[in-house]
Amino acid sequence: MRGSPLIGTAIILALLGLMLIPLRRLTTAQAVSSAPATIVEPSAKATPVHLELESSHAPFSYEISHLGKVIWKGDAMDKDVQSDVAMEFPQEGVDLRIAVSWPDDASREAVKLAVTENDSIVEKTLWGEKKIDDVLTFP
Amino acid sequence: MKASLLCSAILILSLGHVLAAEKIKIASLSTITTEIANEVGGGRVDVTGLVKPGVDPHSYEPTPDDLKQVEKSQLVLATGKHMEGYLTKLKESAGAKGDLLQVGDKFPSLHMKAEEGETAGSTNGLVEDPHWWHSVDNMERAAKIVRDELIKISPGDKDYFTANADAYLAKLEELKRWIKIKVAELPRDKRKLVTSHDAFQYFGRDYGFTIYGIEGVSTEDEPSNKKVSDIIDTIKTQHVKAIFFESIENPKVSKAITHESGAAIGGTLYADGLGEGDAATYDGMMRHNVKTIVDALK
Repeated sequence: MRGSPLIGTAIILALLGLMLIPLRRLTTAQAVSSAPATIVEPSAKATPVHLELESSHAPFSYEISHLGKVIWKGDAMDKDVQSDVAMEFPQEGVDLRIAVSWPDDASREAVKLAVTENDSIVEKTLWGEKKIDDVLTFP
Repeated sequence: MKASLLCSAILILSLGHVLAAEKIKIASLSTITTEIANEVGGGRVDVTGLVKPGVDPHSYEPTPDDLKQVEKSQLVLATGKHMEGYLTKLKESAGAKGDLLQVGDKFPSLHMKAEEGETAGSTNGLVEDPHWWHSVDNMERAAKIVRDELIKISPGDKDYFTANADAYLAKLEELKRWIKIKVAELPRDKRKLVTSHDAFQYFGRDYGFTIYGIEGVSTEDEPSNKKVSDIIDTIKTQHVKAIFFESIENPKVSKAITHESGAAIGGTLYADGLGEGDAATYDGMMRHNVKTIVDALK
């Protein structure tokens, strides 16, 4: 039943050759998928930014967005909350949308957003009744 | 005796009613001032918009019918800042008795470099940008100016005009908030606006855009070859994603620039006043412009 060792070697070589085709496809596909730098670029440009929100009344709900995307949100039981985020912070500055709401018993309230980027702190305040939905520009 | 007294009283009351019902006649030389006059004046004014939506105010010439309207108006509203170059002639020809209020002349102007041969309102090579309504803050100023003028003409209607103006100002505040939120979707380094003619300086100042007008301050200005070439270079070096056409212009030059620079066509903007459909109101026009700009440049 044993076949010729020559035929066996030829079959093994042929199988190894066939395996090279998917291997080549895999390596080629990998090179293409890593090409578009734009997908990686935003995170590469992102820098650590510290956000601190101080409200005149607690509890309050908050949502901070950058370029149409929510970067920080939550419900605060205390008047002061803070968080670290990674975001692009170009020389031209950034616009942050701040949406804050207080319970019905709150009157005219204020909220201060402090943004720390590269050891530089900028604070800005908004006023509103029961809720605020506005944009602040930093720095 | 009693009967004649009663008749006289009825006559006086009726006359008073007729007088009270007589509306203040206003001729408006811009779709923008037409809206303000209607919003603030409400049922107490009869506004005739001489420049209709879609008409280019830079090249508008009054017709004999327009002169008649001006003649019988108690107030003529214009946007000012040299937009209506025919105003003096119009006033003289019509012999208008009413006040002429150039609304935009009551608040500060932005200036830009005058195009070659441009003389109207030119000082030291600079011209006033007349397109002040692209700043909502200026619209608020304009609404207050028209309110005060109407009160001057009809002091008895002070409360009515004040209430109407307050309601309009509240709508403008809400619009301003909406614009800020929408513009915040666009990174500040992408706020580069290339438009057919230079009409968006006030908008650019308020929302952090750099403006590149292909033509000058007027739609009648023709861009030189050098200017077209400079704009193409700017689009390429600044990586401007899209350029915008305007509703009442021939987009031939803009199309050629799009072709040369590789930038996309961002859409059509309303630069010189209100339009039709969604853009028939100031609120609708601004929302259309802002949405078109932000969505195309994102």
